[in-house]
Amino acid sequence: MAEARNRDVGLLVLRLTIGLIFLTHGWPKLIGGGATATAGFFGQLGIPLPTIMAWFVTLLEFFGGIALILGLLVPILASLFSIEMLVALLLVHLPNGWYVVGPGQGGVEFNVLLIAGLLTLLLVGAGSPALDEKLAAARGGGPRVGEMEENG
Amino acid sequence: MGKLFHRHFPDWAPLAIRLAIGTVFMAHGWNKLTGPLGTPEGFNIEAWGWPLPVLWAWLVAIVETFGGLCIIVGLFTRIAAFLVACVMVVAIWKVRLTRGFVGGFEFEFTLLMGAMALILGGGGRLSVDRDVLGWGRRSAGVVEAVDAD
Repeated sequence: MAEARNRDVGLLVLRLTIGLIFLTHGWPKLIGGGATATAGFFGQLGIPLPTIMAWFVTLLEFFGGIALILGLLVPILASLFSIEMLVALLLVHLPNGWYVVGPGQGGVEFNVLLIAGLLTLLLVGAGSPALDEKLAAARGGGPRVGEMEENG
Repeated sequence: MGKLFHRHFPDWAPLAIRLAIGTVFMAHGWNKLTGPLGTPEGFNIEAWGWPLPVLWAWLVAIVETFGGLCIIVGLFTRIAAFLVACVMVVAIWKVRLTRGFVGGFEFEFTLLMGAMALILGGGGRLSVDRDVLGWGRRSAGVVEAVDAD
């Protein structure tokens, strides 16, 4: 069924893009003196346990970004990243308005876009190919959903 | 939960993306349309050296505003997504490529890839394409038949 295959490729495009965004934002946090600068920023925002949270977010962004690209643990990571983006939206970007480029800077539109993509990965699916799907098949999890649709 | 939704609501996939991308483009297009288009104070592409810069400025503003609106309501979703994708390719190429990815063209890239997903997947549920014009409905019928088994 061409439509189902197209949709899977569309979800794959979303997953790769979002994974790349988080990976590239985790990397400078990781190499830039660890999460120290991020911890200071979190402290200013009044986030509890800023050092632990900064390390959590740094590692989540870097390794979670890689895992999203591979298609590993997608529902869990999409949930965690959605929460992270919601916190960033409310605490950091909301006072700056809507725009990221053009009429304004540092607004919420990028957060909104990422949350929409993450919710799509969480609720609709991770696209194909994905490591989660291969692992489920290797465990004998039966035919994957797309195949069931096609057989119908 | 993902599997459950994928099994029963596969056609809902584009909805969240449509609303987010459509809103972003409508906001930026509307901002350009209501500003002094083709002047250095408003949206201006004279520096690129393209012929007819004022025409291009209008074209971008109109594609963003009405392309965004079409994507939100799901009318001619694939065509509208293709048009805004073209705008994003030019935006990345002409304005943001030299600034790098992070803090540079990452936002435009995400919009471009989201538009790609819409070109691939179409409008899906709650779109004029599907619910009024009936495009892409046959595949949904097959899925419903499987679910009824």
